[in-house]
Amino acid sequence: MRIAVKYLAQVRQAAGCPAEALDVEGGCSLPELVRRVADRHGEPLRRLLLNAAGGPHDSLLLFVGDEQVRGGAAVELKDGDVVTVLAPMAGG
Amino acid sequence: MGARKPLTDAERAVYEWQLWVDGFGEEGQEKLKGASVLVSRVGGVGGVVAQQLAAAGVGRLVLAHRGDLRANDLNRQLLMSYDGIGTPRVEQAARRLRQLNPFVEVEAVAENVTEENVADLVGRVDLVMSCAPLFRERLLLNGTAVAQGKPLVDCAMYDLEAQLTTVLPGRTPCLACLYPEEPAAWQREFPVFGAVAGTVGCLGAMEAIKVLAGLGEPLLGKLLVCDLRDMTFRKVAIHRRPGCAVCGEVGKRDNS
Repeated sequence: MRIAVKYLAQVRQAAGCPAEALDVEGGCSLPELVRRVADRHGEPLRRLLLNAAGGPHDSLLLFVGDEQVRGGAAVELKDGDVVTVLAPMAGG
Repeated sequence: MGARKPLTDAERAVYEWQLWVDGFGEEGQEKLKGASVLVSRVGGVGGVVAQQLAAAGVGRLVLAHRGDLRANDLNRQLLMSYDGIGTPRVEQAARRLRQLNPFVEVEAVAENVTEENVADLVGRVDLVMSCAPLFRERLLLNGTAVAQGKPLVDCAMYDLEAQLTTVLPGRTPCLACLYPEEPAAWQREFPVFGAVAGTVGCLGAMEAIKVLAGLGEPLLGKLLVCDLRDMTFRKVAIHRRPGCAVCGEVGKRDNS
């Protein structure tokens, strides 16, 4: 299946692109997708996305479509889903 | 919210064009006049927030910002002036706002929000504008606003992107629902155009006006995500965090 991933703010900078499409064999949960994109782009994206235990940071904002999903939630993605990954911002 | 305050003829003359706004009118203006707002930092975002709220006629503004103006503030901090470099930002901001609208009471506090002053600062107002460049200050304001049951509008930007949400304690997610811990990767200095800071400042001011005057639909349980690189504006749904350390117990009685 194909998942579209959009990156915003610091995540976009660390990933080096604003969006990409990932082809995933079989099923894929949201935490697994986050780990895959971290592996794909390496540091410093990994530091932005993953905690010491290798799971998504608790303060990472993840959206499937227009709905927030907590990073630790074992939500199964489906073909055509659009996942947005947004690092927190506090610019004032 | 504060009590409505009647308008003078001089005030009606200033606000005439917004009194024509459907659903606002003299009643909405009286609500704004009776209201008070804390603006946490009057930099690129908060300065524009304060400017818009002063122009709109919010009765009392409390500005909290420590430190002197530097040259590299001037691409975005629109209440300042070049000849003010080296002098306190908050005084310059207060002076400009009083010039813009003498009917608004402006209190200048030459401090950033800290654990020591946050309860007092939030306690002085009806609504909080969260515009500081550090999560520590934003989360501190959030915790106190939730504890005191005050609405908070969080306005943030990075590079050409911005985000905005409105917190109503007990009804919507609070900032700690979104960020239960201070995000470690955030840096005090960040890429910024003044036009981006000003955009989210104007949007945030509109949220405050809506909440104070009971106008329109604020961003309750919604996060507005703006990407000015391609002018994409998205409203995404956000949710309260079960067991949130800040707001987890707030509103439970109301909802039961």
